[in-house]
Parts: sequence; C-alpha cells; structure tokens
Amino acid sequence: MLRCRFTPVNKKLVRRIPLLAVACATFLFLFNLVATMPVWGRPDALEDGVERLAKKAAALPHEPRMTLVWTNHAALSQQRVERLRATFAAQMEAAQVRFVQGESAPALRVAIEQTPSQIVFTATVTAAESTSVVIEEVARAAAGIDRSSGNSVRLEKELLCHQETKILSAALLPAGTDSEKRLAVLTEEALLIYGGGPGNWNLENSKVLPGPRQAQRSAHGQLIVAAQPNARVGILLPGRRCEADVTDQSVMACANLAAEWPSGRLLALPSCGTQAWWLRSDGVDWTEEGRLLLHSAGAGKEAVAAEVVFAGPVISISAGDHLGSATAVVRDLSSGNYEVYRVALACGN
Amino acid sequence: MRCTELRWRAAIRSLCCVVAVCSCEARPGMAAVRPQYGGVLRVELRAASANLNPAKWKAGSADFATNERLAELVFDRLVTLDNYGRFQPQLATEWSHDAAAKRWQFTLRQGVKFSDGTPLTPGDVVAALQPLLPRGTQVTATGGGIAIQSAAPAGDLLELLVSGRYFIYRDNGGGLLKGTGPFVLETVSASIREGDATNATGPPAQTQRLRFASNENCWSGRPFLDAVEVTLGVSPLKALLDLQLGKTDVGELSVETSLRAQQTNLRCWVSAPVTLYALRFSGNARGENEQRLREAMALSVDRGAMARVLLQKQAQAAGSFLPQWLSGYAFLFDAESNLERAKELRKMMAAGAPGAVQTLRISVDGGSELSKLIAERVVVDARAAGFTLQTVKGSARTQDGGFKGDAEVQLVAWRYTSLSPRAALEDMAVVRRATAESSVPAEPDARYAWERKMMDERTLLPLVAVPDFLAVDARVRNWAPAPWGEWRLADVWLEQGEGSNSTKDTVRKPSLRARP
Repeated sequence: MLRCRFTPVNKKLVRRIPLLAVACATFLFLFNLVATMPVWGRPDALEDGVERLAKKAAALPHEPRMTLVWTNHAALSQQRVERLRATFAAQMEAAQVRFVQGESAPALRVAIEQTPSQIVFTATVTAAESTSVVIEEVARAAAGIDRSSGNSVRLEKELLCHQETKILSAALLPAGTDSEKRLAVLTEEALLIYGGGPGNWNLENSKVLPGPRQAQRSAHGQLIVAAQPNARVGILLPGRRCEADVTDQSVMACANLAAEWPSGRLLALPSCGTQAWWLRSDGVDWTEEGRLLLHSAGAGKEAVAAEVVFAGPVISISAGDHLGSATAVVRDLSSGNYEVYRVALACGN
Repeated sequence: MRCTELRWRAAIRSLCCVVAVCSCEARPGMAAVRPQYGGVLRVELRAASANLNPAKWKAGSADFATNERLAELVFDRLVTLDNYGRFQPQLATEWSHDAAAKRWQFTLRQGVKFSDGTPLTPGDVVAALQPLLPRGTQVTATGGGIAIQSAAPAGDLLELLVSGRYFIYRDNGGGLLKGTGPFVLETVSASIREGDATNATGPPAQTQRLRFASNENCWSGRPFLDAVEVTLGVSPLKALLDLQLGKTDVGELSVETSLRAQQTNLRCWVSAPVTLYALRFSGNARGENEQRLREAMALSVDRGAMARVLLQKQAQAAGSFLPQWLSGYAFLFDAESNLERAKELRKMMAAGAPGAVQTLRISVDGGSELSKLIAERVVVDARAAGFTLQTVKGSARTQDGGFKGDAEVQLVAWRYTSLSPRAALEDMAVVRRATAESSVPAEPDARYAWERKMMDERTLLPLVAVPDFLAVDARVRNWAPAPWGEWRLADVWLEQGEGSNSTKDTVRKPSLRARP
C-alpha cells in the first residue's frame, strides 16, 4: 500500500496508474479487513451475550410484529453495534418475531450499557399494563475493545501492531534482500523480532534483556537502528547501552554507559526535496492524547509543518524502514493498548 | 529513471551526514513523554480524621471513601480493575475458578515485601482477607497462593476484591498496619489551622496531617512523588482558596465550589455519581395509609429539578438504589414526579393517619450543607402535594454506622463502596432497614427484579446521586483517577521548576469528567 505512495521512481508504473489504483484499493481493502479483525479480539463474547438476550426476550410475552428500538451507550463502534443488532434480529426472527419499521407496532427496546467491568444488555417489552425486562451481562475484558475507525509535506500513520503489555520502543528494520518487513519490539523483559507484516506478524527471534530486573514505574528504553540493513540493533536503557544481533541466538551484550537519548527523529524524503525534518512529540503526560509534530530541521523554533494525532501519549519514536519514516509507540487511552505505528513523511499526491 | 535514482542516492548520502550531526543534538523534554521523579503532593480533604484499618470502616459512610483513598497509598489489593474493564494483576499474578465459581485460586506475586522489609506470605493474605470477606467465605493458604471458597457461586468475586476494604496488610499489633503499597505512612500530626477564612468568627479548626513517604522498595517500582502530604478537615471553600493561592495541589470541593473552580479555569475532576441521597422512612409501611403516604412522597419529589437546578446539573436524578454506572439498568426505574397523582393519594389518606394532618419531621444525616439543601427541597415539593414537613436537627447515624432517630423521615447519604452491584446492594441492607439478611441474586435479571421489589417496599426513596469533586493544580501530571474515585497517586508526578498553579494547561483542559 505505502510503496505506491512513496516510491514514484519507475515511470512505467506511472503509466499503469489505473491498474495500480485498483491493486492498491484491493490491497487497502484486504489490509483493512485483516487489520480490523484481530482488534475485535473475541467477537463471540458479545455476540453470545446478544444471542442469550434474544433467547430470553423471545420467551417474554410479545406480539408477532414489533419495532426494534436499539440504543448503545457503551464504548462500542457503530459497525460492531450493527453486527450485534443483526445477530439479535436474526435470533428473534428465528423465534417468529418479525421486526417492522414505520408501522404502529409494540416496541422491543434493547439497550447496551457499560459498567466498570461489564457490558450490560437489556431488552424491554412494554405491554398494556406491565413491562417485562431481561438482562444479560458480558465482561468488558472478554468482549475486547474495538476502535472507531495534501499538497505539501504531511505525515501519514499506519498501525503496525498492538498489544496489552507495555512496549518501550519499536523500530522497523531496514528491509534486507528478502524485502520482508521486520519489526523490533522492546518490552520491559526482552527484545522481540517479528517478521511478516501488519496483521500477520510472526515472532522470529527474542533476546532477554540481561542483568537484574528491577521494577520501574517509568520504565523506558530506546531502539537504535542503523539506516542500512544490519544484523545489529542498539538498545538504550537507563544507565546502560546494549547491542544484539537479531539474526542469531547469541546473548545480548550490555555495558554501563550513560548515553544521551535522542530527542526525536530526523526524517527526509527525496520527493519532499532536500529539506530534513524533525519529528517530535509534544506530549504532556500519560493521560493526554499525543501528537507527533514535524518541524523543519534547523536552529530555533520552527513552525509546525505537519502533525499527526494519536489516541494517547507517544511513548517513543524510533527508526522506520527508511529515512522518510519513523516508528512510534503510543498508548491508546481508549483501549489501554500499546500500539506501534509507522509514521511516514509524504509530499505531493 | 536513472537520474531520479542518482538524486535519491545523493540525498541519502547527504542526509546520513545531517542525521549524524543532528542526532547529537538532544533537546530534553521534546522526545517521548517522560515523567519526573521528586516533589511532594499536597492534598486537602474534607473528612476530619482518617482510619487506615479496613476492618473498622463503616459501609456507606463518607469517611469510608477518604479512608479507602488513603489506604490505596499504603496497601495493595490482590487485583485491580483498569478503566477499560480489565482485571489487572497486583499482588496476585494469576487467578482461576471452578465451573461453579465457588472456589477461586490466586497465585501470589513472588518477592513482594512489606514496607518493613519482611516478605509477603499467603498467610498474610489469609489473615487480611478472612475478616473482611462476607460470611460463609473461607480463605486458605495454598502453595504459593491462596484459595477462596464460598458457599454460593461468587462470579463477582473479582469486582468485590478490586474495591472497598479488600486490601492486603499485616497487623503486627500496636495499631499500625504494614502494607506493600507505593507509600509508607511516615507521620501523623494534629494541629490548629490558623487563618481559616471559612471559620473567621469561631475558634480555629482542628486539622490532622498525614505524611506518606515513597516506598523505595515497592514491588511495582518507586512512585514518582517523594511524598504525599494530606491535610484533613479542610472545608471546600478553604481548599479552593488554597488551590488558587498555590498552597495545595489537590483539593476536595463541593458542588458549589466546584462550579466556582471551573469558572476560574482551575482543572476540576468529577467522578461518577458515587453518593446517593435518599429519604429513609421510619418503620415498615404496614397500613394502607402509610403506603399511600410513601407513594405520594415519592411522586411529589421532583428529582430532575433537584439535579438540574438545585445541584446545577452536577448530580443525577436517582430512581433506583444503584446508579446507572454501577448497575447498567438503572434507567429502567422511573424517577419522574407526578404531582397530580401525589395529591390524589394524599386525599385518599384517612384524616387521622400520620402525615395527613400532623407535621412530619425530617432529620438530616451528617448535617452537611448539601443535605440541608436537599431536605429543604423535599419539604417544598411535599408541601405542593399537601404534606407538611419540618426539618429537625440531629444526626441520623449512630457510632457503629447504623441509623437512629425518631423522626418519621430521615435524609441519608450513602456512599457506594463496592464495584460489585450485588455487594453494593447487600451493603445497603442497613440503610434499607432490612430486618432479615436476604441475599441479593447474582444474575442480572434476578438482581433487577430483587431491586425493584425492594423499591416497592418504599423504606428507602432514592433522590439524587452526587459525584466527588476535586480541583487539581496544573503542575500535577498523570492525574488519571478511576471514574469510581480510585486516585492512583503512584503514577502521578509533579512538573518541576515552575511555580505551582500555572494556568497554561488549565485553559486547554479546564474540566475532566470521569466516565465508567
């Protein structure tokens, strides 16, 4: 997907724009499908809950023709709520209840609510003198969390992966001869190397961080990756620097060294001219949404040339797969997950 | 194409040089978000005193909430609940239960030490939890963990353990409990607060100060703050003034002072509605007249106006015992007033029946300003339906947390202290005047039906649910409490180097409202 956008080198490709557009659109669609599916986590938990609710609701005294009034107050996306509604409707129709619209028919009201630990489904049927209620609960943790899904220099972001456990830093390793994407992920315990691509990352190698492990409230680390394909990855940790060969099973080597931490990432792209740009976060703390700002590299405070907003604080910025991109780790405040984004400089169309 | 490739390679070469030069330049604070260690967080709270022994807390009282917040500094729980509905390991790293959810197994985290350096053992957990858990629940030590066995299915055990009094501590005798939490209680001192603006004419108010120092060896890492200094017995107005003068960092406010704080651009935090104000009738509704009186009273009170006007949209009208954020089904209960029907019921009452002619007395629990305001509003609404009520002085609470008084109606404040809806309803037995201990069903439909049945008994008439209000100085960072009021001060840090009370961020985000 991104190659179509970033490397307008081969002029033959330009002549095949319609073909490429179709290919890109198809890939985009497939990628989106694949990228969205794991985010739903365990979709059956909520759907099972709705099915159980429908079975209970079908047992309530009801009319054969009803209107379905569906309300959602939980942190679920519209898309997911629609799927739940379809599941509920299908179950009810199997129980000989027909939902009609625009007719005067008694209402079957379904509400989705949220408590600190549960998603609560209620179905209410109001008859002449009484109201019947059935309720189902599904643990929020079991339901998984889903997400609502120019011209000059700009920043584009692409979600590479996400997980619940803390990620200190991540970097896309420069592609080697096999041109397969490889992602280095630094956690509090280990350096993990994944191969494959978004939605299909496979663990290829892992290296445990040596030395005694002491819990730190502000655990942080930074991956240092060379611009050229290289088997070695540097790791900055508080008070020490480590180096690991990501292609073999050797033990990581560390030395006590108080290195200076990079303040951001310098980006450049031929299609954006010879200008270099600083990519930095303007985050305040862990509770606020983060932004990555693009400043012209130079002395003094430059105006912000572009920005990209995230749903949570930016934890670290490391190397991308080429000089025009970076890899950012973000903690999504809506889901609590740690997310790895590829942030790329883009110019023109 | 060749030309483009050459330009691309040349650009890469030149950029490598630029990267090499520029990467030496480090600008602190511009990279990833990095918290700072150090500083003392100053907190001012309304409660006059605190007790850190969970076994002695009175369910439903406002003091319970203060005690719980302070205990969170010193003690840990087996598990916690994050804002995304996920149970997170704390002192327990793994847990499981049998098919009936009657037997739960918890594996304890290895290497955890109390603040005095002694290791945490399964025996400590058993000793802490056994007196706190409901009757019929047995806690036993197993290899490397504990097991909790209950007589009935306990599917909500985790919700129970993440809230309320279920902290893990060691009682060595002498009154001071040891914890494994991020802070250690260092000193407790009582002093006279001078220059209390809210108390200019009377004697100076007594205040209690507690200083919690950071636990350097905490299993979850040293907290960012060096210490937390808590001053108790501070009125909301005084706390607001102190915040504006930079004398405190976090202050507990009231409805009124919270609105004032928002107008002055102070950063305010509002919890979910965690305190229920309700009318409690004396005795059970035996006769038909008593039933009519209570129903008429329920229909006469305009809860919506109470929440919107009296409490200036800072509260929620309550039609049920549990609030919407806790049960998820509270919206099914009707909280609408119907004055005409209330008048009809009033006329149907026998002439000599209580409330028909003579004045009903309403006593106010705790005597807070908010309670008095709500009671006065009830009096006005009841008068519109033809009843005469008179507020009387005197606390409705006894020393042991029960209720007393011979007034026909009491206005009581009830603080929710459990995240388990079942446990929260069971806790309310004391305020509902439940004669026999009846167990609340675990299944949500049955629980809803049970709550509706209890509502129909009309011993307790919910009015409004009110949140907690806090104002927070702009230099306090990572301020992210749970919507139900858990503060999580271990992750809070203070922006150093600038004077307190800066307004640069308060303009960006003047008010934070918690959502469950």
